[in-house]
Amino acid sequence: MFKPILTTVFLLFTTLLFAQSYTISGRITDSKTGEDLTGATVLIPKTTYGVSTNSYGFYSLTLLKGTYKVQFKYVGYEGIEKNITLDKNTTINVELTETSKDIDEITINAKAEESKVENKQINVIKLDMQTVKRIPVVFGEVDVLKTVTMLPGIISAGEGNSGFSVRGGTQDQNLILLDEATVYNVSHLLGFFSVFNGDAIRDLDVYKGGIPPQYGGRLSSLIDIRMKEGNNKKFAGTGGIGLLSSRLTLEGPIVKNKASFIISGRRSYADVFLPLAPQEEAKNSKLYFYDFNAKINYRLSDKDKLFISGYFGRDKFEFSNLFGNSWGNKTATIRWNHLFNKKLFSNQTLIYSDFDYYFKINISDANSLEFTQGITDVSYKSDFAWFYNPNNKFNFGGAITHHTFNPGEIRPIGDGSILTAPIILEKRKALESALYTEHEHKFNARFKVRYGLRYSIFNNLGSANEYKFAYDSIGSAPIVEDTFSYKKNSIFNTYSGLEPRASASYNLSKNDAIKASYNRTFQYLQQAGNTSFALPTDQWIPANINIKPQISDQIALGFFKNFDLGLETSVEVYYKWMKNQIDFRDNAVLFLNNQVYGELLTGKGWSYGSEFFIKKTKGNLKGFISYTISKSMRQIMGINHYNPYPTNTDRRHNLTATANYEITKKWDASLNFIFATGNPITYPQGRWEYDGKLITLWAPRNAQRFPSYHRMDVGVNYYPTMRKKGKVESSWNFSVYNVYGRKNPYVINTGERMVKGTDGTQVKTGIPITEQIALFRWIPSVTWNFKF
Amino acid sequence: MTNQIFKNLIVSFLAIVALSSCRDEVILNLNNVGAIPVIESNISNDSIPFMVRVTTTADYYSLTIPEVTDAMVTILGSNGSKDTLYHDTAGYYYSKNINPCKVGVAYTLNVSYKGKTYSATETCLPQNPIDSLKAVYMPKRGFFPAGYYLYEWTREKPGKGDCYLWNLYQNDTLLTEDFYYLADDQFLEENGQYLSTDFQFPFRLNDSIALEQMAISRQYYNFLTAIQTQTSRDGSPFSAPPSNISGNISNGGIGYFAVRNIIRKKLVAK
Repeated sequence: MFKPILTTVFLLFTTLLFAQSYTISGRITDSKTGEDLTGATVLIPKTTYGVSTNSYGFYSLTLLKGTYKVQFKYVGYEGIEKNITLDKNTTINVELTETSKDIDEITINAKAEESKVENKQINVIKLDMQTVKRIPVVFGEVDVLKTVTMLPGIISAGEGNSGFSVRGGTQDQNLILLDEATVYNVSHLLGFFSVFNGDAIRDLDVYKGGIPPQYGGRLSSLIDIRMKEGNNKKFAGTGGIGLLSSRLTLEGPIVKNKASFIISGRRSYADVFLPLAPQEEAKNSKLYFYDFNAKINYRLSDKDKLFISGYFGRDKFEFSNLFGNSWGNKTATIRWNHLFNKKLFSNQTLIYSDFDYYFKINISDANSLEFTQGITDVSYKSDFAWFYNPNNKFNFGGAITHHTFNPGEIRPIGDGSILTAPIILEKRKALESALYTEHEHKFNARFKVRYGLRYSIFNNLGSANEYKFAYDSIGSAPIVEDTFSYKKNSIFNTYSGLEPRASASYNLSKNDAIKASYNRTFQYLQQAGNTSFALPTDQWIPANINIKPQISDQIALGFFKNFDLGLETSVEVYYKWMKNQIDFRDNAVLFLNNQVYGELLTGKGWSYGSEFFIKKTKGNLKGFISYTISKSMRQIMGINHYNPYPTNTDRRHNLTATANYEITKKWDASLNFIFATGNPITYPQGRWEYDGKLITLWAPRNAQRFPSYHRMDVGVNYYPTMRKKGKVESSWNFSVYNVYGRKNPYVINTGERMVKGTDGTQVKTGIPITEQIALFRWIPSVTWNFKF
Repeated sequence: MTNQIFKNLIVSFLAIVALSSCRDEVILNLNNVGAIPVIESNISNDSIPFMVRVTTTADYYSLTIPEVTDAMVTILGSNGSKDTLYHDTAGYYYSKNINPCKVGVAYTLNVSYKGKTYSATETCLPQNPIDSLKAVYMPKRGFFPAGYYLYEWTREKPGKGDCYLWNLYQNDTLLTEDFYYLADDQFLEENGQYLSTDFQFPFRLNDSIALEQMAISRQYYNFLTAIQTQTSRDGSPFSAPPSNISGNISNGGIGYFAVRNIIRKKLVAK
């Protein structure tokens, strides 16, 4: 494995050492806001030389001594061309200006470089907030994760749910990073919204495979979300007032052109309507979420830049002072970019991430207790990028994370509680570390490869009690057979693995390219939930002596073709093999269980599919259509008699389309359409009676399906004031979700028909029925957005 | 319990938010399976005949449960006792003699039906006395109306894995028909700690309250917990996934052959 890499490296050295070369490097930023531009390109026309900026706007291009014409370009921005005589290492910082709406797009010389097939990466989709903001969403709340579910290969977990599945994976197999910090729970209001405030986000990359070796720890995907840095030129604000929530963002320079800040906040006010509810209890209830993003960045010198960013969000849900629920994420990131020289870029990052869930019950003196559970991470990452020459780039580094898992604590409130002493389930601790290296090599104008290796290690740390379980039969309730105790800070269990990652790209012509990738990923923690929703009560649990890490191997092949008129198309096929997949035994006890590991069953999974994508980027009509045909299966001893069964995220067909049409300069209209095969569901195959109770006999797991899901949303944006200096720019968004009122089944219930009894309460009749609940039909919304 | 409450809250939340949601009864095209025997029992230390009920599974939408009237039912005790049960009516089988269960004796059930034998074995477990019972008056607290609420204290048996089931009667009417009051000793310290239980039923002044405490096996506890979980499924995405419930009947039979050791205590609400 290592030998060919070393040989290549050696060859590169020898071929380049003799020629005299110099480096141009610098940062590309937005001229209006000073924000770094990620993925902007620096090109020498008529050569193969070109690089794109990293997520800090930094680029480095090493060329032989000479005179060059250099182009700086970014999608949606006006390009700049400079003539440079290269006889020493040179820093060129460039500011690009966003294409204004008034300029006819045809006249822009900068053809969107990003659109070129050669610059597209297999498995990767970049989303900018402009695209996200035009897509109509339920309740008019801009939501990046809802947009992510419109992409090929990605399937929404369901209506009113922020969760999603990437290429047949589970929700906990998605690594969701906000400025490098893991976000453990992405749902507000139980999934109706995601925790990401559209105004605070700059852009995001979605990796469905071919995950760079820099990242790991989840099997299926990487959603890399970056916060805005704040305008370092002038003070500015944006905000919006919607039906369910309002938001405000302020940004501006701290030291002009050197340091800036951004703060962004959001709060929902669904609870305002609670007093209108008929039940007395509902009137005294609380139901809201808020979140807060903040970031400061400081350019210490040409070589050093410091970033501090944080997120804090919380959901609160109290019912008549009797019950209280509250949960949320906290993340903090401190990063230091340092340039050792023109070619070596480094990034040191310290990260804190925390998720906690709190529950309080206070119905009487005796019944008063509080419950907490959560996970806390502290991480350090050290990343280096070495821009060796225009055709060779090396990435390397490492990361270490300390995890603390709190599976649950119950404490009495007051003296009268029936709980005389707190119940504290043992906290679990673990270290997750990794080292990685990667080489990006351009053989010629047509052929590029990127390959690397990640070595990950997972250590369980004491103090801990671990259990060995015995079972009467596979899938039955666990019986503790043996207990092992480990001392504080001792490493009592270790897993490690090599994760090779590789991708290659070959351009058949200017407009056609084929690409291929392979990657192996390891996952050392998982969420213990067995409902189709990721609930805040679903705890994260680490691998340990009872659970091996999940491992996935994925291959993907893609064909990309661009047409004139700004039409981009791609087809990708993939196959994924997954080991040590986790499911729960029937009737598992997951809540407040010291021995939750005994409830798990493991087996294998596999998924495969084809993804088709058409995107139109030019003209008055813009949008994309994606279609995925896929299958996702599991086979686990103890479930379904070891017969393979479709996973909850299995959908045969998934078609999404979104379009935005600019009618006039002041009006545009948008439309979404989604069609998906129904979710797998387990249907009854009979019933029986025990102790006078009606009990359903279930068919094999996930053997049937919901009816197909389809829906259309429409929206209109109105921009009454065009951007003028010193004026508040505002816009209105009107939308209707599920415009033709399709009754998409949210759940199908089995149960008994209920009738109203003599005393007015619901009484069971013993007549078995099935019923379907549809959630959202014709949800209209209006949002007013402003910018100053 | 907290999960249950959380779920209820979510459901009420959904009801508030999803104003446009709608609920329709639908008829599904189901692949029903044939009749599988289902077994229930009433075997205890009470001085009444042993009872076993044999029925079969029915089609899901079927309104009746088929009763098995021609099975051979026997119960053998590890102490040498043997009872052959006779069919009385509607799938109910009774022993001719009255032999209350004895602590430590394992009872084996055999049901022969249509050429197949379904069996199960369960042991009569020791009990611990109810130390005290109290009915305390409480004012209205949220969902719970004002009334007398019952509290019970029991000294827990040493060792882990003990499981309990309670039945509660108000003036001789069973209150716990739709809900199993179950507890295990997972979170209790070894030796001497009190198992204190409160029952969330409001009693009226001068009501006669009767409590039955049953010592049950861990397997039966798991079975009843699963029944509780599965029958309280409301189909919301937050419900437990549908699961078949496995009991202790061999050969593919459904249900549970349970042996209960029961003690009782009575009280008048004052």
